[in-house]
Amino acid sequence: MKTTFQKEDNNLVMYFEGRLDTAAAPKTDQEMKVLYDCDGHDIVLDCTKLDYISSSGLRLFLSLLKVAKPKRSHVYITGLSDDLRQVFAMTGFTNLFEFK
Amino acid sequence: MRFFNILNKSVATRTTILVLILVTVLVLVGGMWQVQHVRGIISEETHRQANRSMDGAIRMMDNRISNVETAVNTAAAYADIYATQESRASEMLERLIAFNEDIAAITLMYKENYFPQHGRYFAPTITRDPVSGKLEMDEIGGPENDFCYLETDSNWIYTNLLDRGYWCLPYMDSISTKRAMVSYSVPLHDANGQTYAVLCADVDLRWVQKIVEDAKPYQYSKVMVLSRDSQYVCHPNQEWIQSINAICYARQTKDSDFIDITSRMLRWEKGKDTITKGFLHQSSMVEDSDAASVFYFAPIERVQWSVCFSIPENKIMEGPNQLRSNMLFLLGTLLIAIAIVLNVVIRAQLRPMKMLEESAEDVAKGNFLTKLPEIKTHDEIRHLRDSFEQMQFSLAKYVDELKATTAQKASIVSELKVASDIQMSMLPKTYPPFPERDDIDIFGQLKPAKAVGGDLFDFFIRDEKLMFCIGDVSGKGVPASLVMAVTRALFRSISAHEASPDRIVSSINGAMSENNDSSMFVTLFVGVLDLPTGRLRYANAGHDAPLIIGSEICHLPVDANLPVGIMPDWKYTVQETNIVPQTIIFLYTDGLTEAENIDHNLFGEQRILDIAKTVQRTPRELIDQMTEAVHKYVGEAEQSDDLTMLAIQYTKKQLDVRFQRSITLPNDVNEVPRLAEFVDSVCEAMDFDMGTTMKLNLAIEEAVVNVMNYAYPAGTKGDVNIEAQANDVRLKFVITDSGVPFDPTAKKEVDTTLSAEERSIGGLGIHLVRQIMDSINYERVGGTNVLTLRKKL
Repeated sequence: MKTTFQKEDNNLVMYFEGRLDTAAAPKTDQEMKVLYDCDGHDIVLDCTKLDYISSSGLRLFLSLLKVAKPKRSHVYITGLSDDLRQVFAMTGFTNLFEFK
Repeated sequence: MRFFNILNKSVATRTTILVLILVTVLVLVGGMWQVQHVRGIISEETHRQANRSMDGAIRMMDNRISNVETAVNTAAAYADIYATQESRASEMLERLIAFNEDIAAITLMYKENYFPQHGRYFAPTITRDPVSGKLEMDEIGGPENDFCYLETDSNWIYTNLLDRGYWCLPYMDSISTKRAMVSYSVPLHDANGQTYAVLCADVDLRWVQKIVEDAKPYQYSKVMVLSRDSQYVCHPNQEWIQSINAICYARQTKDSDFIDITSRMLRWEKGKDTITKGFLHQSSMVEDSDAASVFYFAPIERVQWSVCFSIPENKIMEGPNQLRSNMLFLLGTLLIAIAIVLNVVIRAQLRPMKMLEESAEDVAKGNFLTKLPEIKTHDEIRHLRDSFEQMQFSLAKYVDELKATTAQKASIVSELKVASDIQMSMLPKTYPPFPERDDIDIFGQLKPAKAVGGDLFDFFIRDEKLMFCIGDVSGKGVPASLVMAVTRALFRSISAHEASPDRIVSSINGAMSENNDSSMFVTLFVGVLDLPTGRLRYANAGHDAPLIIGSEICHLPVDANLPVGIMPDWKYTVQETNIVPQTIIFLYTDGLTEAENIDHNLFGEQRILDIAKTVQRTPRELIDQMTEAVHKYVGEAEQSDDLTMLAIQYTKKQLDVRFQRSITLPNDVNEVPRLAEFVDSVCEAMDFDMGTTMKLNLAIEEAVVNVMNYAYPAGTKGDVNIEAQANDVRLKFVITDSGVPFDPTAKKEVDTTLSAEERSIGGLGIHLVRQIMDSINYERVGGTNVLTLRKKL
């Protein structure tokens, strides 16, 4: 799993690439911590190159959301493949995040 | 009997008849008594009168006769002055007869040859003509008239014999007219005391008849006079006078009464006798031969006669009889009058009753508000009417209450119906319940004894396990049905996340014992059949052991645990057995074993076994046959308890394994990529597409990571084995580990509708597994957790 962090416009953008499974989750968790500092910014999670996500990964996204929401930061997810979209749908995450 | 019917039908008639009877009895009794009294008085009076008359008559006759006797005696005293001289004798005679009207003829009979010039016998006589009254002289001495001297019973002879005055027997004067006569003669004595002549006076007896006729006490009396020689001196039948011998005649007739009276009269007795008709007819003394008569008789001693009066009784009693007739007539009139008056009056008095009767009939038809008639009096009828009115109001009130109660009852019945429908809907209704499955066939049936019952059964499949239960609440009806509903709800909610029968039963027990105010309990059998393997785990709480119907038929061995709801901390035991495919598990409640027929005999276990032996097909057929058998057995008797049966047939067909591959990993999440490789290879072998492969990867990863995290406590090392197996219809992954018992299926479902703030971090894994896989199944076998994930192909 490889993550890339960028600031674009006023957004904090993170690119995910590869498989976000349970083994990769701890490391990714660390890397995502930079997004927690999102006061006044929106967050964009780019999943174009995300091949796979399991519950550990979903948990990370949820944790981020729980932090961002009180800070009035939107969390956008982009580039989600149909298969992964289904996974989000199965877990009800499609209601939690905004998709672009 | 008809008479009594008439009596019973009318108060007026009955009262009238009673009064009539009473009056009749009183009047008759009183009247009779009085009439008798009067008869007695009359009788006595008659008796007195008769006696008086008798005495009077006798005295009168005696007077007349004694007059003659005295005259002749007196003449005899002076006779020697006249009679001794021939010329002066007739002068004496003339004076004697002239002065005595009663003397019909006077004769002086000289003894023979007293006056020789007149021949041997000289008897001058003077006769009074009965018609003209002229006196005629005659001489009846002489040879041709010597009868006076010579007849044996002549005066001459007797007077000479007796030497004193002598009344002879009455005789008929045959010389001139036929007259009854009697003669009195007295001897004349000369200076020497020798009888030289007899002075004889004849007396016409017609006056006797007249006297006694006049002297009779009553007009209708009859009189007879009997002389000493049993000849009648006078008699109502003129022909009998001086013609028949009374006593001989009496003896001829052989009538004892006739003979008796005649004898007594001849004996100169005084007396009275009441004689019946026989004698009367014979004696010609009465005209009406049917009536009795009273006979009074007494002697006239001077002439030795006996006088007899007869008085017909019916004449005596004419007065009282008339009185009796009058009284009877009056009684009759009185009775008729009473009958009419009473009848009319009573009927009139009872007319209000008739009105009341009509009103009552109207009320009886259902018109409770009919107005009863007004009754002006304050008597019994009025009271009856008032009571009836009260009854009418009460009746109307009761009918209204009854209507309300009936409506209430109807609503209760309809509510019970609804409750029954609700209860029935709690049971699994559709059969077959799992048509898409080929490993299980189930049929269940519940017939409550009342509208709602206390038996329950339930089953559902979760994670490839059939969770089923059957139970019996203590009691019947609404209370039992409420407990039944609670028990079922508990079973469902607890076994949604608990697969161990003993824990399921314990939880139910705990929950029920807590709020058990009514001390109701439930016998319960909970079973969990692992459908892939046929492994049956079960816990029994006081329920009847189910039948296992396979190649053999036997009861499932069950531990004797307490029914649920009694002791909150009872430790329930779990038991296990293996069910071979095609076996039927047959569960039932005691409504089956204890089904009663009219003789109160029970259906019993043996019959169940017998039927189970004969039926070897489907659960539905088994239960239908059992039901039919019970119905036949019970017959007319009422269903005594709820009848519940559940039959579960394990029909799993073992399919051939097409593909098999496995991998063992240590419990380290970093091994996940290796797991992914494994899954990819399996999917490739199965020719799955990318999407399916990814999903499978996800499911397997989640399941395995769960096991790694929870089956092995932190820090421990252990292995997790993943085996993939496919047959014609499905692909399964079996994840085994030898960690602590950990059942991922026992976790509560995640609520995916919560908001971000509300969502919990955990629980996603299993949720995804469930979403992706067709079934998830957990078993603890020996010391290993076995988690099976299946996907249909």
